[in-house]
Amino acid sequence: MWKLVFLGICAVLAVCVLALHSWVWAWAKSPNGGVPAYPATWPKPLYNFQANPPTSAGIALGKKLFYDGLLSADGYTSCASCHQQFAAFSTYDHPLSHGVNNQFSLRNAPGLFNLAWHTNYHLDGGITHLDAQPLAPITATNEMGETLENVIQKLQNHPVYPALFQKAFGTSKVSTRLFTKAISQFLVTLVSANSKYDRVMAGTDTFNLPQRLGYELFMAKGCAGCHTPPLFTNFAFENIGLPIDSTLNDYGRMRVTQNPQDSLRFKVPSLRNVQLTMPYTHDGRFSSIDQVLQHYNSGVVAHASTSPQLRKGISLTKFQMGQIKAFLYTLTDTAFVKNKVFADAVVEKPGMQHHP
Amino acid sequence: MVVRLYILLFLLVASTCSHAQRFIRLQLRHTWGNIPIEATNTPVNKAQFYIHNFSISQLGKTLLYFPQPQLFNALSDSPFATTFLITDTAEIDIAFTIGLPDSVLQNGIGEGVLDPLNGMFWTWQTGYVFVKCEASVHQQKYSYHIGGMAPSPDARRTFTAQLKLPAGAQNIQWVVNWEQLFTPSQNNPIPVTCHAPGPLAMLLADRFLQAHSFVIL
Repeated sequence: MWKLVFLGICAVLAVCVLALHSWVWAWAKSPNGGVPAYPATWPKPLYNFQANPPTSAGIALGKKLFYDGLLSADGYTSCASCHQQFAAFSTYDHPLSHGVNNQFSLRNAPGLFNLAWHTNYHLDGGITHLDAQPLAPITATNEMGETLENVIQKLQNHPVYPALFQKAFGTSKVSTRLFTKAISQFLVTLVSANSKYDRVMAGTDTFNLPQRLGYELFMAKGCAGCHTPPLFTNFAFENIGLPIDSTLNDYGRMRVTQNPQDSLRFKVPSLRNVQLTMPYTHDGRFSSIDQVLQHYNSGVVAHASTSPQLRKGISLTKFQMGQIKAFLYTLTDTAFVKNKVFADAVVEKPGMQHHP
Repeated sequence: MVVRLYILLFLLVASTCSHAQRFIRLQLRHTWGNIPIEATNTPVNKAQFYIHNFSISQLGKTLLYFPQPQLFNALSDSPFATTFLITDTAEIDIAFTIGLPDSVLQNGIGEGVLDPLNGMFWTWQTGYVFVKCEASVHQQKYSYHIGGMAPSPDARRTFTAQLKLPAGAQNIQWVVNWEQLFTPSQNNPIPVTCHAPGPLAMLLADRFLQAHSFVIL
């Protein structure tokens, strides 16, 4: 009798878990099944999947391109050189990302995840379509330093790529449009939505005390006004009161709009995986989350364009900073950064086999 | 009776004459001042520009309309030419916009005239160069990449003109005088480079608008 009751309870629990799972994750499908899965509580992605429906062949091609140094002038500097998976596809531990010929780029490369929810890219928002984004680093002389003509030629003459384009797009003729579409197909699969925070919000996990207090502080102190859940960005451009670095002279959004009101405004970064994406700010001037919080507490230098909510800083005690940091660590998506689906294909060479 | 027949015949002929139609040939010609740009003694190394929404109309009726973007390369394209049918005696209206419509960026990377391989795509900031001109003038190298769409200052310019075609005219030349870009005004000397949207691009866009004229032959 008790066995039957126990089995019944198990069955009910299983049904509940399955129902919860299907509620939390919308396994949204495009007509050809291309839209990646994302939590049902999230807004709909903004990338036009109908114009570029991801396919397994397209995603595989995009991933190969992402990891291939062939797209650069020196043959070694790939997209992944600056967008490292273990750091949520950001540049780890380098204030400025490195380019070909031992050059520095202008900024710290941001993490790549949840890109389908953005409508502009780069910290100044100058890129207005995901498909156009790869052209910027590829052709920047201090990043990948290559020309589009050379990229197309190298891909077209490659022993493997034309067949991959044929498989993905039905033509072996390589074009700018198609190789950028392939990279986008890979990039939109980089969905990071499996952190402890996500599990807590789904009701399958709980914060410990510091995390809960940090979450409450995060909401109460107005952090969420810009770093708005669930994506932890409001996609706006803000001046957080950082003095200009006179060696870089990077004025952010003003570079695009030419509007002085946009001086020193940069796109609000997502705080998802923030534990893994050090250093911080557009030029990587802060090497720890503590330094960032200290900046908000006492380091804000108000300019005409500084965000009003930050002009007087955000008053935080050391204790509160610790709590907020504890909460921010819950935004780390370990499954995402260790997902082998997103990793470069490893080719084991003779003599490299693992030994027991 | 005979007089009535003559009057009827006169009216018929007059009516026919007033609605006589003829073909007009329109040809694009690039110059440096009065010299054809393809001549070896012009200082231009690169000269190309986009237009869209090209139209010729007469009395509100559209005679010719190209809504899609067109890219004209002064140094490598075969001369652009087309024909259209007009009704005599009425003026024609010509209009086009230098630059590209907003819609070109909605679907990512374009093909054909919009392929970035044409050298008219900014990669550091999404958007197209509308007018590219590189020249060596007075022992100085000039490089103009003129463009800009929202959120940058808008460097698109719309050209309009009205032409009265005299009887018998059969050819119109659309002349683009690239030297106009290098004609300074008192308050605006010639800049050497312009590679980004902004006030300078706006100024040069205004100058390039002045470079266009239509000549009846």
